[in-house]
Amino acid sequence: MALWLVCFALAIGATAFSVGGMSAEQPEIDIDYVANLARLNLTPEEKSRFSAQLENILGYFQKLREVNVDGVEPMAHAFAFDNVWQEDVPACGFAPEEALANAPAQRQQQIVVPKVVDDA
Amino acid sequence: MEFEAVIGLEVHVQLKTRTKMFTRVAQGFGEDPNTLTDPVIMGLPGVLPVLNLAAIEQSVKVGLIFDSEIPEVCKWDRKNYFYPDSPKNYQITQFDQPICVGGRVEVELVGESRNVMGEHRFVALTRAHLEEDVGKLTHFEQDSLIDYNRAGTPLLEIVTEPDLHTPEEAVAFLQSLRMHLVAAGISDCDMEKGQMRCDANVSVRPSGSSVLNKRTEMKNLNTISGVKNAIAYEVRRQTKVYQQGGSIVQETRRWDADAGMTTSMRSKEEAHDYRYFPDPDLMPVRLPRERIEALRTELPERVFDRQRRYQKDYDLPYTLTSVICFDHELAAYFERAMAAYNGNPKALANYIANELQRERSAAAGEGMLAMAEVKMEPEALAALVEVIDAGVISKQVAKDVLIAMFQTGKHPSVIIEEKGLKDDTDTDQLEAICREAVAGNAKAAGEFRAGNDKAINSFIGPIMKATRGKANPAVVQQLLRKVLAE
Amino acid sequence: MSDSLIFSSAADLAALLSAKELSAVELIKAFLARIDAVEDRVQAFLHLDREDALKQAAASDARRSAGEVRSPLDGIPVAIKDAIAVKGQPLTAASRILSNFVSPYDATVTSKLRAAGAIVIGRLNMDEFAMGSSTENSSVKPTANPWDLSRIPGGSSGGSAAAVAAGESPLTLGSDTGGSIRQPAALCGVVGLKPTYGLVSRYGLAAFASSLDQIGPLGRTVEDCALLLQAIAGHEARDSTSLNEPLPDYAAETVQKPEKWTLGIPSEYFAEGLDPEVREAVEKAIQWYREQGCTIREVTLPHTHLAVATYYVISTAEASSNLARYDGIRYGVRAEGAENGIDLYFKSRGQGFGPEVKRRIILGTYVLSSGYYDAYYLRAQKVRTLIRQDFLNAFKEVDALITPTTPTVAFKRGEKAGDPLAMYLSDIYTISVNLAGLPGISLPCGFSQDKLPIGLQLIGRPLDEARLLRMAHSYQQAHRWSRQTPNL
Repeated sequence: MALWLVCFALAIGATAFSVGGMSAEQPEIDIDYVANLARLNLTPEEKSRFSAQLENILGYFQKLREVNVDGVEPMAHAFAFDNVWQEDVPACGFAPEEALANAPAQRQQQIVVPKVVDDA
Repeated sequence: MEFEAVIGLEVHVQLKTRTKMFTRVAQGFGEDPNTLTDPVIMGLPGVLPVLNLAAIEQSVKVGLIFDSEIPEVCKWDRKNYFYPDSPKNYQITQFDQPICVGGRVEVELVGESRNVMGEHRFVALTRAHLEEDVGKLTHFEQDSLIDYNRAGTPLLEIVTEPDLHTPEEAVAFLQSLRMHLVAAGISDCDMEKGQMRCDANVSVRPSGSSVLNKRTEMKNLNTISGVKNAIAYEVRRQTKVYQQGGSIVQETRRWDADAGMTTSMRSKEEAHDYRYFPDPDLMPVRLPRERIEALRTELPERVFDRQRRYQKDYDLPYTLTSVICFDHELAAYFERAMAAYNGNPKALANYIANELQRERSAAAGEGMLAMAEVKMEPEALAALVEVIDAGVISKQVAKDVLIAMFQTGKHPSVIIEEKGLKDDTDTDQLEAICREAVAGNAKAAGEFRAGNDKAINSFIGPIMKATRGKANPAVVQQLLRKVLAE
Repeated sequence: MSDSLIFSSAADLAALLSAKELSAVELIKAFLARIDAVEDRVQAFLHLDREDALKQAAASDARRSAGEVRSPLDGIPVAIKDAIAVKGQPLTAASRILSNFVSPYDATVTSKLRAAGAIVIGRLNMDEFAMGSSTENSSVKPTANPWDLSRIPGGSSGGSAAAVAAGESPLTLGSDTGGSIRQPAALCGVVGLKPTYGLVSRYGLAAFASSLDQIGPLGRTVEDCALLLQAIAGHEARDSTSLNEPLPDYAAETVQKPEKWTLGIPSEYFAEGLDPEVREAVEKAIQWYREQGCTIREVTLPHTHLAVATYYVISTAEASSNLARYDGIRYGVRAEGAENGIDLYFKSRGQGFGPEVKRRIILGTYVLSSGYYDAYYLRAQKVRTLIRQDFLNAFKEVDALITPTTPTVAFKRGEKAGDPLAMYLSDIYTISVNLAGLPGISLPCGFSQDKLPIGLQLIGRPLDEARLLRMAHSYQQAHRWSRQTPNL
């Protein structure tokens, strides 16, 4: 499908969605849930702007459902090889000053963070 | 209604490698903060992980010890969550294709008494997988400090099936796990140093039922007794809830050892969405069978297999095997001694389980003198037993010789020579001394001849005095009976 | 003299240094002067340590006097995209969250450049965390296309391409995840190469999408890119995805006699949506190859229409995880006024990331999240296999594929900023190459009526850089596109 036609069609789709939706497969994104998982603060404006944009993009992702992937292996790596490892021989590390060189706050040679309330 | 507990354990074991799991900076404990880091540990922009071969091999060994299946291929996944002790805010672990699958750990439950071997059973394992440890947070009133020394240390997470039913079984499991891993050099499993950590999943159900009710996960079990007490508490708590008609919430609870209770960790009620996916930076591991078999040859004998062997081949009682077999250093000592002289395994085992241990305890201010620092070589101890068996010295004399051996590390023959302890009383001389003793105690002689076998002991004292304690008791008995029979 | 110097190829400059017609210090001074003259308009650099550059040049001259020249690149400036670690230099990835970060270690490519004696200079502008196709997503400033300052230079390695086009550095390093070297190279009229995945170590490249990222060279000529590739390629133990294969002599291979190759034209890359001027320039190039005796075949890559979706599912998923480490705790900018440790994450990341980065993190988090993993991420990984298979099938018939690099010439700043998806779709010709892990090179093949550069892309088999370079070099030798320079 022509690229610019795609853009045009999606633009139409996006408008239609914001008016009340006509495309059957427009996925919804619980942006609060996902932003929380990703530890991202979003302004209310960002939330509404991103929701619309992302749902548009997710709608585009539905293309992936058009193809039959039965029996197809997922491609986890560009090239398949195994057993990449190193012998257990110590190499040079950081001096503590290097490790903490970019630390925003430190005390007693450790990173300081505001009180963490629970255990992971 | 009677209830039974269903318990599963997740044990994290720190592997005793020289370097960390995904980078070659050294691992360690008790060092100054942030002295065991590098760009990879600190999660700097642009860094990448590289597998530690020793960690992989040690994990395979654990699987082999516990009869796990070592699948043909295993892979690495990212577990995504945010926490200040996790430098990348994801942990590299193994989600669906771990390094070991299944397996079982033989455990020994506590017997009726200390001298009686308890029941043995197998605890089924679900799997074991490799992952990296996190840093250490220290909490203060206003803030927290983070030390990344521990971050990246190789961890093997061993998961049991919900196959345990009492706190005692859990203890037995941890003890067996520790014994086997220490013996194989995989980990020192020192819980105080965080080398072995245990979380427990506990649920209860009506006795005899096969249903699996909701379970709680318990954390912060820092000692083996903590594990036992926490499980016991939680079982009681859940039982009470069911008896009162309530229901259990699936949640994580924290064990408070001081208060002796578990409390709900409210924030954990929402299930974590870890978004596992295969780590694109690491390649799968596919160990050839020959390599796995080569690792098998490096394994020590399993603890309880050895115990059964000593029982069968050497007729050693539980009181001795439970000391020697459960401590791989003592077992190794015994094996070396037996290689030098195998004529009297029981005597050897006795000396090790009793005298050696006593001397080690006395030598140290607190605890025991380390085996590495024990001067008395196993071959020397074997020689001592041999020399007693040959009648060169008496058992009484041997006690002093041993103490001297322990303190100086000298061979028994040297000590016997130096101290002139050889029983060089010739038999004729000894016989004459025996006659004298018998002659000097007609009453006892009469009693003996009348049938009181024990009366013979009355002569021992004077004979030993006359020989300055050197006379061989077995020979003395022999000669006395000969004299008394005349 | 100065003008021709700054637009000379690195190979020519190396010859001048070798002939002692020029010292490295004089050379770097010429480029520093050029940077001073045009940077106010081009804005390719985020940071430049002039003192350090002069020091390195002096050291190079000392080596040359002592007869200890390290490589053909000794004394040649190479400017670095601000995503690649250089010890003691800032590493910001054009993000606010790293605006105060100074790298305490060298990337592998940096160490290799130093070993080659190159003059490692500057930090080049980019889209924040390499997410973008126009360098408009830089949190600091946009970079201008030297051919038309009102237009974008492409992205994410916009600074890398613009710097070469503007004569500010003969060579630069960029990174390419979905086209981020090739697309800006095309839009700025320079040569850019994305190596086979795994050929160049990623250790020290701030990761965007781990299974797609590669560092690569940009320069005025194909030969220059070969020189730079030689210096940075090779197996490296700290990158577990690094390929362990023997390396050819790229520079020597590049100038070998051209062959009568069989080239494939994927029909899906010449469908509607391709700007007519770009199509015309590329078809002329194809015709030139035909005239040299090459066989031109039509091939099909049937899963092309799924490439953009596949790419954006996989790359955002990996990125959402790779960018989790940026939290202001161990390094980077920490937000003020956080109530507790957890709040610190939200605030630092909320303030530190720009909108495109946030969008992609949210997308990536979503496609990995519980209930959606199978439908999006797992499925995309399977489609990726199909896309790679398309290429491998095509390579049974042909030696390389020849395509346009981009569907249009450089667009105006702000033109696509409002519609992320439209921006994503402009990567259509470059994206599949990363998904398949193949090498790809873009070189100039003409100009539009508005005097905007047009790029030709050659895509090769895995580890077939030598052949690609030779193909590209033979074309470039026969044409004068690279001799043109922008009016700055």
